[in-house]
Amino acid sequence: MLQIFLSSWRSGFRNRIFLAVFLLGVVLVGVAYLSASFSPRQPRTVALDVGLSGLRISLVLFVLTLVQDLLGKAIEQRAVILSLSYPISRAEYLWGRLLGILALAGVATAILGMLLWLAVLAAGLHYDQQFRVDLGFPYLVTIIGVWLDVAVVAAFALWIATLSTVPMLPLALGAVFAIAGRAIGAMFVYLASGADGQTDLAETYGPVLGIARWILPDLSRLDWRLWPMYGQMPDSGGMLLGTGMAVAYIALMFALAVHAFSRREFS
Amino acid sequence: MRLMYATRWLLAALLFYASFGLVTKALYERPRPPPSAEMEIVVPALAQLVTVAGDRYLAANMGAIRALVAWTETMTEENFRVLGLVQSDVSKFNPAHEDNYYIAAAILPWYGQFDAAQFVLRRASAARPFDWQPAFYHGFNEFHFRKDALAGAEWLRIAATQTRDEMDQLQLQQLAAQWVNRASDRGLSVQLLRAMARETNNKPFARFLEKRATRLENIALIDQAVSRYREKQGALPERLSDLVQSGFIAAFPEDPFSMRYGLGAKGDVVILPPDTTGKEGAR
Repeated sequence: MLQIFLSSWRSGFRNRIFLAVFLLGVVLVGVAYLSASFSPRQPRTVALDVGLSGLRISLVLFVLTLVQDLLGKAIEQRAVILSLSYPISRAEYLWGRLLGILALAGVATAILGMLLWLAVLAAGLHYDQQFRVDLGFPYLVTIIGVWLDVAVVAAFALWIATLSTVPMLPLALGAVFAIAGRAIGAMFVYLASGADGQTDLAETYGPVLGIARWILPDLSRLDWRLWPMYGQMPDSGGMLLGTGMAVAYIALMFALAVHAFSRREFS
Repeated sequence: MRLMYATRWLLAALLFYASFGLVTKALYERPRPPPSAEMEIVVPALAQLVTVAGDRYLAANMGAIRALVAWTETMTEENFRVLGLVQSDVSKFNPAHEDNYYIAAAILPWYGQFDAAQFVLRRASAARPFDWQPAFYHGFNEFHFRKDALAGAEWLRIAATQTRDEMDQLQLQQLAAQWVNRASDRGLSVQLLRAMARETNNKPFARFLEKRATRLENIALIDQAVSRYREKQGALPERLSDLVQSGFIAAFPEDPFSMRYGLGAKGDVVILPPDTTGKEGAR
């Protein structure tokens, strides 16, 4: 398993697509810096806000390309047969891959998080905003939340990759999953509050969301940016439950992936 | 042989260029779609959410930036209504957004979007318990636009609970007390606009607020002159230039937005479009 982990880790640094997606993240941090100039009163808050959104978008693309490359392509090109000829179980193989992907995502999150930290500091040099952002511990916790969010998406894509016979499917479904998972919380609140008086909308989609929440994790519960942005600590019970939800969902996806992978024939 | 081949392709390239030139010429002669006016559309909230990858904070930022860059000087009543909807949506995505409530307070109620402004400010006040300003602006709007001094004073008192600075608390409470005893006050509006202009680092927006303050001052000046004229002459002036000729006003103030001032039927000052004929048409 360690071998698989290390091979995932190494190929992560070798591949050019990863570098490209990572550079996209760097560009988005730059966009965050520039977005500060659109804020009349809170340039640092807006830079941080837009930057965190950029981080979440680019890191999801980052892990999806990783899953696609390390598992999707290995299955498609039958390279997986060679890996499985070693004396390891299929579960160990997948576990090694997932850990490698999460570790790479962790490194990317840390680097982009530091870049964003610098960008936010640089964004407000000429204006002392009244309510300051907190770039200490609250920021660190928020960045860990971003990584957890991305880890859930990676686990989902891993499962899809073990099922799929179409190489692009993990990337496409993973992106849809990420968007839906992040939006479901806001949609739920919107519909629950009456959908701006559009009762038919609330009546049609309310029950759909009621079912969807048992399938889709509410990834917005891992978004703790209000803490560094406005100094409002999210309720700690909610944070713990959110983390628990993420870990349980990752475990579920991993189990489903092992199930699908072990039934699969590679000839 | 090879030269012939290359030359043939060069000729083909020239031919293609000529057709490109013809098409381009025809294209430039065609009318272009008019530049879209500001704030014509409002996208449903759920669609906004999906277009920004499900990230409600990003949706809020997009809306707030859209509201900030809207060029209000050319906007119609319908555009302001849409601006109100856009800012309300931002508030739904992130009620604590500072720029959003600030822009809402600075623009919406002044252009007829009182309810939208109050919606944004109420939610901002609840989401930002550490910030007294949303409640203050909410109270100001009640006082100034609804002429409801008591409701205004009530919101000032809420604002006073949302600051730890004792001086701020005291001032807000004192102001609340004054409002209860005061009617509509244009001087107060001028002060508020200037204070808001000082608080922003966005220079064009500060200039815009400053211009609005100047316009209010001008209107107050003309209003006073009209009142004095009526007292002395027993009738309204025929036209505003009468005020200068009779010495009730030293010089006629110029509008900072390059519009003209005119006189309404009841002697109130009205804003007229700029005079392109060169004649004074104000009554």
